[in-house]
Amino acid sequence: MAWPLRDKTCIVGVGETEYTKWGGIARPEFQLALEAILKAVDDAGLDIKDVDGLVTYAQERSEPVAVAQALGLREVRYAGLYPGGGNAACGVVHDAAMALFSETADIVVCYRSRCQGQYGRSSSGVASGVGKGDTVGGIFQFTAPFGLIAPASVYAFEARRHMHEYGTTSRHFGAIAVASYKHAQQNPRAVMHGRPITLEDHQASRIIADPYRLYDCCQESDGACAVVVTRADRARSLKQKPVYITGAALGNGTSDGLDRSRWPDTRWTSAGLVQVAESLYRRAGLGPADIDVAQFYENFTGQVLMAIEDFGFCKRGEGGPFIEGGRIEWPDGDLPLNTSGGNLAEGFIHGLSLVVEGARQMRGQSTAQVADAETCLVVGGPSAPPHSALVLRAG
Amino acid sequence: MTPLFSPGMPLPAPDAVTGEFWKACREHRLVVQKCVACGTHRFSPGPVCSECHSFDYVLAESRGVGEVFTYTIVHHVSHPATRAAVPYNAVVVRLADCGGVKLVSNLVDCDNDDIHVGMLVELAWDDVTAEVTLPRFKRLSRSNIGPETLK
Repeated sequence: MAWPLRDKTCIVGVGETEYTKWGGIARPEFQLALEAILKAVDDAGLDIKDVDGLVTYAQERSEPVAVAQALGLREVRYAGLYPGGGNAACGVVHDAAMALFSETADIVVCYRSRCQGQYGRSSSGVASGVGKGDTVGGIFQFTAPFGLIAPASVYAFEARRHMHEYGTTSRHFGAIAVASYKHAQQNPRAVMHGRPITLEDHQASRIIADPYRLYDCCQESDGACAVVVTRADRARSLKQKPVYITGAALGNGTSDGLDRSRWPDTRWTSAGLVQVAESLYRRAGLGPADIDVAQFYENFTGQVLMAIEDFGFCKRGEGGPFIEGGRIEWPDGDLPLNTSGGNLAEGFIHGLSLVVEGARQMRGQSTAQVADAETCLVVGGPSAPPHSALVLRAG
Repeated sequence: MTPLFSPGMPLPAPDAVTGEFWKACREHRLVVQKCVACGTHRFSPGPVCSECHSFDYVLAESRGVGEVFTYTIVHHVSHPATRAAVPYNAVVVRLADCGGVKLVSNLVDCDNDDIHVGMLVELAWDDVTAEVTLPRFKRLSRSNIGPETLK
C-alpha cells in the first residue's frame, strides 16, 4: 500500500537571511529567525497571521512559543521541537507533513536560526557538551577525557575505518568539497562565493583530525532560514509552483545511537542511514535511479560519501570511485550534489538550507539549476541519529 | 606516566550507572557489564541488556588486551588543555575478551605514525589525578604475546 502522506503536502515558500562566516551578523539570533519566517511566508503569498504551526530543532534557542508571541500569530495548533541537531534538517519537514496531513494544523513553518558569534562555535567543546569546567557526564565521560571534543575528531573514526576496509582516500573526500565549492561559485549568496578550491588546495589544507582536513569540515555560519509547508490541495492555488513532499523518513537502525561504543561493526563504515533510505524509497515509490539531484548534509565529507552508499547510489565501499570524475558536479555530472554549495560552501544553517535549495531546484530557481529536474533527495545530518531524509518532487 | 593533556582537561563525572566502572579503574581493573540472563557484554555501561532486557548483570574483568579498530590524530585545539598535546592520537580499542566491546582511549609511548588498524595493544593505566584513573593503552609487549593473548 502506498504511503498515505505521499504527495499530500507541499513546500510553498522559502525564506533566508544573508549567510555569513560565524560572528558576521550583529542582529540578534532571535530576530534572524523572525526575518526568515516572514520572508518564507511572504514568498508563499500567505498572511503571517494564518500560520498555525511551527517546527524547529531541539537545539534551537528561538522556541516556537516565543516566535508565535513575537509575530502575533492568532493561534498555534502545532509546535514541534524535533530531536537533535543537523540530523533534524529533514525531520522538521516530516513533522510538519504529519501535522498537516492529520489536520492538526493548516500552515506550518519550519525554521532554524543560529548566530555562532553570539552563542559560541559548534567546534568548541562547550557546544559539544563539554564545558570549560572539569567534569563531563553522559556519553561524553567516555570520550572527552581522551581528547575527543570537537565533532571532527569523533567523525574521523568512521572515515578512517572506511579507508581501512575499502581503500577510500583523502582525495575521494576532497572531491566532495571541490564540488560544493564549485557550485558555490554560481551562488552569490554563498559564503564561499568567489573562493573556489581545487583538489590540490584540499590536499594542502591543514589537518583538523586525521584523516579530515580543513576543507572536509563543515563551515561555521551565522544566518537563518525557513520553509512553509501546507496541504497539496491548498498549495495548488498559491503564488509559487508547489514542491511536493513525495517521501519523508526518520529514524535509525538497531544499536545505532550517539554512543559509538554500542555500534555494530558495520555501522562504522556507514552513515547510519540505511534504514531511513529503505523507508524513504518505499514511501516515495522511487529508487536511487529516479533521483535527479541531491542535497546531502555535510558535517564531514566522509559521512557524505558513506551516506551516498547508504542511499544505494553505489555499493558499500565504492563511494570513492563513484564520486571521482565529476559525477557529483553540476552541470554535467549524473548526480549533481549540494548545488547551492551546501553546508561546506554556501552556509551552515544546521542543514535546513539544504531543504531550501531542494525546493529551489524543484521550482527551477537554483543558481546551479539541474535541467528538467523533477526529483530531489535531501538528507539530514549523517551519523547522528535520529536521521532524516526527504524526496521532493516538482509540481 | 607523563601527562597527555594539561590540567583542566575534562574528567569523567561518575553517576549511578557509571560509578562502578570508574571505581574499578581507580583500582586498575577494567570491568565490563555482562548480562546474567543471556551473557551479552555491553559497553558503555547501561542499566539494561539490549538483547534480552534483563537488568541483572555482573562485572566481568577484562585482561586489557585488544586491537586498534580505528583511530584519529587530532591536530585542532578544541579545548585549552589540549593545546600542548597536539597532535595527539585517539583510538577505538576492541577488546580481545568481554565480547569484543569497543572503547575510546589513547595510545601512550607510541609514535602517531606507527598507529594502524589492527595494531595489538594492552592497558596502560593512567592515574590522572588523586581521584581519577583513565584506561589508556600501549603497544602489546612481546612478552605478553602468547597463544592465549587474543582469546
